[in-house]
Amino acid sequence: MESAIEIKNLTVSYDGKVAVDNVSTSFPKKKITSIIGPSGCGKTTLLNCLNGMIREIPDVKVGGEVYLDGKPADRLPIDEWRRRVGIVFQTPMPFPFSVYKNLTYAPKYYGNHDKADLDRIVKENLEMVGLYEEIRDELKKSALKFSGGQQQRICIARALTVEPDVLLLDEPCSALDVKSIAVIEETLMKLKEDYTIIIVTHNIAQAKRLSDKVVFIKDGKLVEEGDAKQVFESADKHETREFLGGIYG
Amino acid sequence: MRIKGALIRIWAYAGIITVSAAIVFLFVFVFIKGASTISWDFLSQSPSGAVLGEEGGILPAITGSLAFTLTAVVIGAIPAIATALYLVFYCKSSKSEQVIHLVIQCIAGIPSIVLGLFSYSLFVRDLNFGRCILSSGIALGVMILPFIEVRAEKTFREMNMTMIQSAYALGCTKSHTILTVVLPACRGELFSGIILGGCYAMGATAPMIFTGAVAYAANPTSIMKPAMALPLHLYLLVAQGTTSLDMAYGTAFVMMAVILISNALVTIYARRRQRAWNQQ
Repeated sequence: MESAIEIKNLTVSYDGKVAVDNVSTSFPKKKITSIIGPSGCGKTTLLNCLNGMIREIPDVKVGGEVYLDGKPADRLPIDEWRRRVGIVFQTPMPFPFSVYKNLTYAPKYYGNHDKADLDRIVKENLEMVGLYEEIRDELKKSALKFSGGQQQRICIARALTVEPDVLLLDEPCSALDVKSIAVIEETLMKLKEDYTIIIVTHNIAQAKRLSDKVVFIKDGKLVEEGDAKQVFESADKHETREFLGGIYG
Repeated sequence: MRIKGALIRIWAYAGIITVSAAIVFLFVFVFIKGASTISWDFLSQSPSGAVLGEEGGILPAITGSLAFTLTAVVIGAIPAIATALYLVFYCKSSKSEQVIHLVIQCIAGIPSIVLGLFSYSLFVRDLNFGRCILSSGIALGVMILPFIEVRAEKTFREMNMTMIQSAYALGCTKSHTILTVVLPACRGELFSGIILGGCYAMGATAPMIFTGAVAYAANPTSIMKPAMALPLHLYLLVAQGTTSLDMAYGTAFVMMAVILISNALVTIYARRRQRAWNQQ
């Protein structure tokens, strides 16, 4: 299976403490890969390495390589790397502007000032996350005035405005109610037709519903990875079975 | 334990009552004494009389004070906000951060008369600026720099980092994110910090005495000329003795009113911004 993004021997340490320990894996194109594991196992750190956000953290050491479409990502300019690998964070955090301005923020940064084209970008991306019909008359309203689920979908749409290849999601549903979670999951299933999606989640049931591939990490080490169905139904490693069993139990 | 609790409560209440009473007394006393002097002529004319200020008004002192304050705010706020931005968004070494904080604390600890004398010897004499609004503005600007920096830094640190990271994650540079997300989101707090710094500068006399404030001048027309200032005018009126005492109360009234109104406007503005932010 062709990989959109691949990591080789990735090691990350903060102040000498290893958070990700020699992890190598790949994320297949136009599929959803879930990264699961106990709290503090290095899932978010791993995710932050995939689009270079790790560089914003002081006193961090990163070893190993990230490959984007087979090419080393750190040889790309950082803005290009981040444009190609979008990220949506745990807490919905739109900019304190209108929905329209949130969605045109990045295209304008990249030099697109054509009103008609910006309108199209706003419409298409809101449609992509199933929000356009819901809020089409409220595009000039502050994005902060929408519900948590709507805000998270605005953030996903905002991440899509720069036409990334890969979309990273860091526990995107942990702050949302059940109904909003269902809508976001539906959105992600639709998005995987066009994007490679990598999601960090605490919610094993969610990982089971969404994933094509699962990567299980514990204490910064990759314990097991593989086809989601196979891992959830008959994991090879004892630790994986214990973790999944514990959650179900 | 109960006695200890009661003592702490008494101490807290006694403190707040004493401080509030002193402030209220001060304001009421000055306002009552000064209110009779206040008239349109007092606010719109230049001082006159055999002993200067005995008659006429204080317009050049009001405009002069505003000119000193504005210059100080421009000179103080720009580096203060830049320092805060550097410390929060660019500084990656905790050692440099500590050194910069130490320097800021040292600036905050310099007595204002020393700042005035420093500005006098460097700008008025050595650089030949002469006694002017700019020389005073620099001394006042340095004086309020730590005041604004501390508030700006606190505001930036309280910003939600996820919002900033969201902009980085779209590929935007740090400078673009600061200009388009951070500064607009913080402008209410920054604005109130700058105005409060301005009020602080407006009330200071020591840095102006040797550097730009004079006993008599027309309304300011250039920052390279000296001007009158409310605190110095007040000092001179009181120093002249009883003949100008009513005028002194009137001047104090105006000065306190300007500072009080600025403070009130800033508080209302900041609260509104906060409420709007909370409702969003």
